[in-house]
Amino acid sequence: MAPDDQISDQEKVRIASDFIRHAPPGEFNEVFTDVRVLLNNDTLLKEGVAGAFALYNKDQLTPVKLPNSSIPSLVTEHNDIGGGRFFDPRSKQSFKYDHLRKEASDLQAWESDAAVESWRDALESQFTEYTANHYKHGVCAVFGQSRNDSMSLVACIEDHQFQPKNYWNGRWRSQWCATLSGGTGELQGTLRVQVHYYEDGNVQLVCSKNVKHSLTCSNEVETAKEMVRLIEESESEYQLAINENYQTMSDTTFKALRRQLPITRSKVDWEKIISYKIGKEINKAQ
Amino acid sequence: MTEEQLNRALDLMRRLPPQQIEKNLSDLIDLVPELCEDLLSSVDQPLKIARDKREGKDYLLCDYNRDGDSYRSPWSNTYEPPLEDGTLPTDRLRRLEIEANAAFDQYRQMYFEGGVSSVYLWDLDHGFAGVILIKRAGDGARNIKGCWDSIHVIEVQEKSTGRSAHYKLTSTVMLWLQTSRPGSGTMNLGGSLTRQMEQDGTVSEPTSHIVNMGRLVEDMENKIRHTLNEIYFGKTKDIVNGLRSIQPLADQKQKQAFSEDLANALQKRQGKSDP
Repeated sequence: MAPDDQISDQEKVRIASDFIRHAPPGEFNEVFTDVRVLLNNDTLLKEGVAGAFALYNKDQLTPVKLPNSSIPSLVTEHNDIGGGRFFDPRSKQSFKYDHLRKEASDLQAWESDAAVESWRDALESQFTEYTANHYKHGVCAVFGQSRNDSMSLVACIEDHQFQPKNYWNGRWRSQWCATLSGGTGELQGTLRVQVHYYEDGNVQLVCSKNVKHSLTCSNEVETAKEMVRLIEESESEYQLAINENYQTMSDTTFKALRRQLPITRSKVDWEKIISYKIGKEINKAQ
Repeated sequence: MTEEQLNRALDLMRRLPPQQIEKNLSDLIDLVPELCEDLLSSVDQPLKIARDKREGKDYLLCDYNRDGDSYRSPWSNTYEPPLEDGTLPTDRLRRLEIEANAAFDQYRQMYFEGGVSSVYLWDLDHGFAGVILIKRAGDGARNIKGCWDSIHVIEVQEKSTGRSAHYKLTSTVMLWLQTSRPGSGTMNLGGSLTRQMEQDGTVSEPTSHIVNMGRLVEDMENKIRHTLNEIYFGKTKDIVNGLRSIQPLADQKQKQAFSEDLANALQKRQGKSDP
């Protein structure tokens, strides 16, 4: 192929970054290695594609162990403080995050936003209990930010199961944002599920749903309880709806695509098909 | 280097969401143009339908009936857009191809009750090879879009006696299901499974090949259909329900502790009442 038919470096970076960002949960390393070999240009990879690693980890709500805490945190867009550092509101620390090694280091003290901390803390309590109650290996984090006359609270949950030896991986992500102002508020949720099965094939489930609720806020604890109540209701409703869809897809849609057997209830009589057709062809030729 | 790159490219296609196969393949070819022909012939894509205006019938497109940018219709045996000297099967093979298309058209009707099928054959040194394609789109009932694509590639090695042949079948079935509803948002369950099977068959006349290929394809599709059912609606569903529990886990722990206590108590009672 002529050199001028080659795409630009910019296009290569766009493609490589897209591939990285679409890696299924638990398979970032494999996709990274594939892309590295195909791009065949480590300089371009480091300079142009490195940003995609960070975007991927934040989008996946990647759990991260902190060396001095038993409770893990999450890497998200909400706790990104730039320079490759993130903060953990639970342990009041910030850390440097290595996006390739998926490791935290260089822990430093971090000061929370005093104006919103009591609300954030109350929600974190309720939310942590909720997470433990529904997600066997779930990790959650609650972030708070105050503005002039309003407050925003973001609560995230991540749970995953990685079983590459059995050729499958799955991840659940919940992201709930509450904006509180005066005595009212709005609660918005984005729920995402992704499953990848790849033994002799490539089958993926990709689901997402957006939810909205209105809130009344009294005090920190009552508001937190109200939020968690709505969250629990919405997430369970979502999970039930997914299960219902599975039922309909299998009972109705799948069955209508291909029967288990012909309407005769027995397999095709191929000899019959052939003899019938030969007869037709012979007749045609005459 | 190109061999390793091809392996990496195929690995990537097995991991990226199959819902974007066409975009992924197109990007991959842009990124590594040297792999273009290899990728087009080894990566299965959802089948596209074209219309044979002369014969008034639909046919399916794949790399095996492609020559340049044109595709050959199995009904008229001509290329669209027209080609001066596009690859055509030999006369003997074309006669068999006509029979095969007619036979699999009936097979399609019996199992799929709709859809489109196409069979393309090409010569090999000691036999021939072929691809049997079937595409069946759902009618969108219950607000769910579904589609089934079958790609069966078969290699027929004719024994020197001419009385038997060895059939090697590699089949990929793609199944696509998607829905968008208020309760469940957008749900997209799709992808493919690939299997291989081989067996010998007796050949008493040319059309025996169609009987042997037909039986092999039918058995293969029935097996894959069963596996698709298990993986799509069993395995992936179980994985989702393993990520989150609708029932509070504390309740479950309590229930488990309670049943363990009960079992222990019963055992103790039995111990006491034994003479």
